[in-house]
Amino acid sequence: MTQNQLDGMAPEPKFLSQLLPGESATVLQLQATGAIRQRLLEMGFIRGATLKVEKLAPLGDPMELVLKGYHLSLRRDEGACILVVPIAATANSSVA
Amino acid sequence: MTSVLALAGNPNCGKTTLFNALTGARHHVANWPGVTVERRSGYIEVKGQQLEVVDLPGTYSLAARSEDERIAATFLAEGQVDLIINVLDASNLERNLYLTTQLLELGKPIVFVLNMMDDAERHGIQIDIPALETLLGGPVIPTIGNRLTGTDALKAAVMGVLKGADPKVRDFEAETAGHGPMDYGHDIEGEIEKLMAHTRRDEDLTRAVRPRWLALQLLEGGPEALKLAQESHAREAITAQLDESRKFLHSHLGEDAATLLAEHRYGFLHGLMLEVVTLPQAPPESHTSKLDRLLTHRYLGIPLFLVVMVAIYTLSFVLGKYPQDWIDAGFKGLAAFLAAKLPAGELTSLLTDGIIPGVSAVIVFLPVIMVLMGCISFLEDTGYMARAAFIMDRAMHLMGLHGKSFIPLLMGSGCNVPAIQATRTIESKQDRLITILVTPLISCSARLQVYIVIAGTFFKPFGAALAILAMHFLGFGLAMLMGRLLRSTLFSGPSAPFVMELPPYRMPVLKATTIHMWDKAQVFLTRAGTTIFAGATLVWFLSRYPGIANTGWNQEYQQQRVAVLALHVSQSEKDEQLKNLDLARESRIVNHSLAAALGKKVEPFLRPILDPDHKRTEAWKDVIALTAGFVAKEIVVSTMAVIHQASEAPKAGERLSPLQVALRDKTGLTPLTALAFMVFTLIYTPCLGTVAMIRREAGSWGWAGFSVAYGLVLGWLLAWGTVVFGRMMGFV
Repeated sequence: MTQNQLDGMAPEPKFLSQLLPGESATVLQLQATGAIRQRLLEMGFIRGATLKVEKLAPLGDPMELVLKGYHLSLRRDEGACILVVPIAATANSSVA
Repeated sequence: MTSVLALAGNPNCGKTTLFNALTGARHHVANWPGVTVERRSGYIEVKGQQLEVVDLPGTYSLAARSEDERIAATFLAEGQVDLIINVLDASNLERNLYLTTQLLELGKPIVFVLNMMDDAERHGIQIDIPALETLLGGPVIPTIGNRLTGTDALKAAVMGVLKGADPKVRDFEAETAGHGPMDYGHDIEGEIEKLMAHTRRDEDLTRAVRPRWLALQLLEGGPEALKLAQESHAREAITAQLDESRKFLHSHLGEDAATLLAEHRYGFLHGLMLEVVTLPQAPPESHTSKLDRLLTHRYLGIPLFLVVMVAIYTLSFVLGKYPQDWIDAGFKGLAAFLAAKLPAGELTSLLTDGIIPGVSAVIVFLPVIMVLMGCISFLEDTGYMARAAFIMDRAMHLMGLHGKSFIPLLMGSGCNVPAIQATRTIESKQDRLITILVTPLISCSARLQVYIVIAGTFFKPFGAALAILAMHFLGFGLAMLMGRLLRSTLFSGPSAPFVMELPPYRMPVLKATTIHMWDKAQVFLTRAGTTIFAGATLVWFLSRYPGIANTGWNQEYQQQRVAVLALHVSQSEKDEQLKNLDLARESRIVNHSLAAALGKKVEPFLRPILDPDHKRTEAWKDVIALTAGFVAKEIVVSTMAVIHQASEAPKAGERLSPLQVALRDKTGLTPLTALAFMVFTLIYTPCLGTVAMIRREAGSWGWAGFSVAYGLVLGWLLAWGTVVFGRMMGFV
């Protein structure tokens, strides 16, 4: 696949824990199981949901997210179970 | 007939404020059967109808697995609930309605409360209430934040629905041919039907819970539903069908059933939100975001948090000390007054040395419990508690603990008893138990009093300060190690998810804080108070009998008193002599008591610590002091004063008190064994109040016993290690 083809496609999926403060993404898949998966689902981490990383805690972990209009915090370990597709802010604005 | 109303809703939706507004102070707090989750319920009367209101633990979903949430789910599905009041936070409607989608499946009458309307309006969120009523099929009562203006309207709506006279109530079952307000699509509905066909074979099961609800919960993997299915006589057919349904759904729709259900519910809510809610074009920055820029700031967040902690600590333990001292002085005065008025004897001693100090040992905790619990309730209601956990979680996670464990640990350095009560804020049972078990290792202010006396006796001022500081660091370090150890051994299951909501900041209602303080005080008095009182009386018995009933000694004492009174000396001289006489008598009783016998039995076990060369003849006396110190650690000092017949109060112009001189010159303790004694005092067992609180908060005597046992073992090992290591370094 050439670089040009890549540019025309959606960004590569990554794990939520890899996002930086200020970045947004949509949820692609939960790789967690058991109680954590259940909790993430009911808190709104479902396919297609949009979220934004608000900030990191002063010691670097956990992270604060905005999802469905409310704020929640998540340990980075837990963020590493959530596959997301980043929303490229600059690309969006250039299209608009 | 009393109708039962259950208050259900997400955490932080204002449920408890609504409960307080409905029931006022007319409620009581107990635990749910068999668990340590608080059950608050109260009775109200509306138009001659008795209503019982039950405040359920806040929950995000009915399929969740935490203890709190299981209780809510079970009570709602199986309990005798006549009506559900579903409290919704209007400023966070979509996620709050997720629980609603599950509540609707229960098929019970629901009244919806749209709380925090003022917040929603401030954020420019508009909600079409009639449209919401149509979609949810029940009355929706808007209320305003903490002032709860809609309480009367709510009561009217509840009565209307209970009487079946509310036109807004929709019969989804009739309208939709069986399935509720939610349609999960052809494939899932098909599997629900198949599952229901099997569960319906068990008539008891069908009576206990709604079949559709049961089928949905089974698909979702709800633990209560799975348990019900396992208990059914049709369990084999149900389990087989469940496996088949899950496989079918996974292969046809590409996800597991729980995910599919959640996606459908949020899909439904997405549509509902479009119809009912108008969001602002450009939302104004909320107060919460502005505050959080400061309070969880990368560099300022931690210092500000520490300022808050210092403020709470000061309020609880510095200011709280005053009423504590008054109570202590009051009871001591009462005991002294009665001792002087009543004839000396067993009954008087029971009263003045047993019962009064026992009651005092309970009451003395009240000011600090109420102030600290008030502060914590205030922090929770403002929303700052979640930020505190957010800030501290990384550091606490390293210790095997939760961000919310920090506050109990810190407050433990004032007093372990309210600190353990403060662990209630930790939702996960595992995290809470670990915190409860390590908190007693944090050196409290009562133990400080012991260190001051011992270290002051055996070390130069600088060395003493160093030794006292070392005790505090040792306690903290041990708490850290034990936290990790417990996490990797007894609690090695997957740790509870730290998916924690950071709710908007809100101004707490003073009334709620007051009610909370009162509840906590009440719980302490009734649940822990009795244990403390019983324990204190037991220790009194052990340290007074059989000597106090010895008639020969009593006569001797009376004769000596008469002799002193007959002396021709000044009144102050007489008082001095009488005081010495009392001390001598008390000392004799204690040194020949059951506790002393016990001390002599136990002493060999403690010999490696307290008497490594086997040269001390009176090491057993330390054991009496430690036994008495079980009631409260500061009693170690006053007991030593009695045992060694030397006053704790220093004479004018002398650095050491008579007790300290006696400890140094007569007991045979060396600086090294004195240090070992301090280490042992730090760890050997939580005090009686703490043990009572552990039993109450951990929910069983087992954990209380465990904490005593591991304290004794760990304390012995470390004190022994101190002696061995000290000797290797050439100390004596």
